[in-house]
Amino acid sequence: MAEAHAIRAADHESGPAIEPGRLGVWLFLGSEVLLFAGLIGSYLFLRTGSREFPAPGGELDRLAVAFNSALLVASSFTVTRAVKPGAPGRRALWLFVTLVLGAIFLALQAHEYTGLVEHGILPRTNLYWSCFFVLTGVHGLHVFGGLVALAFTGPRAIHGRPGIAFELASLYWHFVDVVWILLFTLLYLL
Amino acid sequence: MSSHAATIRPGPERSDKPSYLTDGHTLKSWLLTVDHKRIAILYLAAITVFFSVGGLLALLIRAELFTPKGDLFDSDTYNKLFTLHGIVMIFFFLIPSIPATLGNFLIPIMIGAKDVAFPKINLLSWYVYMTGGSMAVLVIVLGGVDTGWTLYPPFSSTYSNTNVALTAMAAFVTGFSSILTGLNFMVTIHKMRAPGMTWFRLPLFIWAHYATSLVMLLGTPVIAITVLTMAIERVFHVGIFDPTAGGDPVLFQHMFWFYSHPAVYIMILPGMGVISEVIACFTRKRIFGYAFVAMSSLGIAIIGFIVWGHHMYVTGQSTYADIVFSILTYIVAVPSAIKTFNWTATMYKGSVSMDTPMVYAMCFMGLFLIGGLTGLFCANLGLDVHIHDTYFIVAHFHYVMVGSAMFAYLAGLHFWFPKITGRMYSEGPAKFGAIIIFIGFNLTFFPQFILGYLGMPRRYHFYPEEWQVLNVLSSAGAMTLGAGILLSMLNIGWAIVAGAKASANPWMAKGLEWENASSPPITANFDEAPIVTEEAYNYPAQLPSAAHH
Repeated sequence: MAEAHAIRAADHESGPAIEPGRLGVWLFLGSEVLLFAGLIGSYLFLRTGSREFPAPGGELDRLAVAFNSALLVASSFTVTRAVKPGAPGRRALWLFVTLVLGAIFLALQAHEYTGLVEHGILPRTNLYWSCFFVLTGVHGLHVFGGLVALAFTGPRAIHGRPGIAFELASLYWHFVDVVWILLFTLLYLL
Repeated sequence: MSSHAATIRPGPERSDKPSYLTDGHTLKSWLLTVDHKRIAILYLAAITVFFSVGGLLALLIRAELFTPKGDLFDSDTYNKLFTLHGIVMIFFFLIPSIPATLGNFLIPIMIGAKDVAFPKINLLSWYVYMTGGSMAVLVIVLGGVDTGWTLYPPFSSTYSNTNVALTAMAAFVTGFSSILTGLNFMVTIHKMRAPGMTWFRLPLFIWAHYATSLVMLLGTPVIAITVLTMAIERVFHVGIFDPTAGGDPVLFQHMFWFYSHPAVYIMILPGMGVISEVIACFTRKRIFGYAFVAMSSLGIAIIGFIVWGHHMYVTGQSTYADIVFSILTYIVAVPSAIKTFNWTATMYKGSVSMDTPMVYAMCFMGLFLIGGLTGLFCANLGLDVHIHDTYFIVAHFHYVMVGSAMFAYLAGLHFWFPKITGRMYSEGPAKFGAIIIFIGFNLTFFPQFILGYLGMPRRYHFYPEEWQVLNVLSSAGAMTLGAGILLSMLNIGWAIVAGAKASANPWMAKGLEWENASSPPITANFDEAPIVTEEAYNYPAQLPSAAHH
């Protein structure tokens, strides 16, 4: 996105200037909102519309997943420390902590999946589990994408390369976090 | 109107810098280009191939329908023909047609920029499109798909024995090309405008593309996740759309049409932008009610998101939902009507010259009127039950997608052809081709309104003998339409290699692309960065009609 800065932007009437890259990422997040709105909307449609929506049984380990959720939420705080200007060593450490938290989240999610499969629960077991695996799976892919984005943009920013790519990657990371809070509430708690 | 004395600049002298076409001759200089104009040409080449494939499939369908019996194809093959025709034409021709070619080429030039905001992402979106397109070609090679372009489960997710998952993935991948293009255009229009190019000085082509980009950005992710879920369901036997597992196939229809109805506006809005440009130029007038035409594009894009249920009157959805969707569908016709009235009002007392682009634009207005008004028939709760899934629907949406979107595409190609190639086509064959296409089109699709009203269902290749006359008319029209398009393509193809050199502003039109850029433009678009001091379409009063090439 760096070339966007090289081309002279003319913006005399639209108030405080927003960088093209930042506007692009916000628009992309708008697109992502619609993607998850589609998934969550489908889940609510089925859940409220089906005569007998199967409730998950004791297979869900809510406490463990709550702990995992806390890790992901914590990573939203640690990434802001990594983005903030400061000593490169400290920033690198915060970035490392963020990446580890994200990786643990994915590892625990994979662990949860294998545990469920060992209990004989598959995506086709019933409608709840169909939704569960599709929603958490698509979210997990986004977490992975966010991790890759942070890992690529973070070190460059911390080593003083100009640009807002790392900050924008962290914006995406927050988005993924917020979506998880919604999914956790809808799939595990309600 | 501007206080400046209105003049039309003939465009810059031929620049000593190389044009975008001559700036590098290697294959690499094309395949790795980040120049929006070359990317537009890459899209144009690919889209022309898909258009030809889709058109050929249409001719095969109409050839089969000459007779009431199935004499050319068996039923399975026929199912695959109309499915592939729909998928190729919608996902690989109509949706990218105007935005990816003319939009890519013109948006930066029209707003006075050197390129789009993210040139590399622009190239990436072409490669994503080509990946999706290759998957679609692979589907054809592997034996096709027979679900209809709508991919409805449970047939698609459970019962069909054809390449459904690969087709879904082709649509899924191509969707990202659409999202990236829309995002790029929106940021470009926000951030890259030349000094003085305020929002209400933008050409209406830009407003139309801004509205289209909004739909691409916000609608496409929903179809992406929907076809992905359907493919997951097919491969892993998940039960979200499967009634035997407690899922709901109607949910798929909601999700599918949440995108696919707005997608109709992805196909038609850019065409409306083209028509605004063409009418202003060939009537030598500012578009009547500029702000209304600009805002009606946004109105169509926004209201278009909440009318999808009109595809589902017969699914058993709630009657209250039916009523709301019906009212909203009537409302979405209002901004389209505003445009049509304003174009007509623009022509009133204008200095109208009937060059080829204007001929196409006039055809567009008549055909869009029929396509739009028959849309109101379909919005009607009672009447729609009678015409649902009949040839009436087929005729209605072809009047919008071919009669309007394709005619606008051809209008645009003929209008900006001298700008894109630096050459001029022969006017005679071009106009003759337009007339043949117009006659062929109406002969193909008007009888289908009657057939549909009489009850002929779509997607069957057997029909009672009393419908043969109308079907023969329709098939003969399709062959005429095909011949007209072939003639026009040959005329344009010949002009690319042997057309007379065009000046920078052969139509004496207003707009930065005509007045400030050479034909073909240099790689950086302008020798000097333009500064805009006047409204769009600031044609001098009482100018004699377009000076001819």
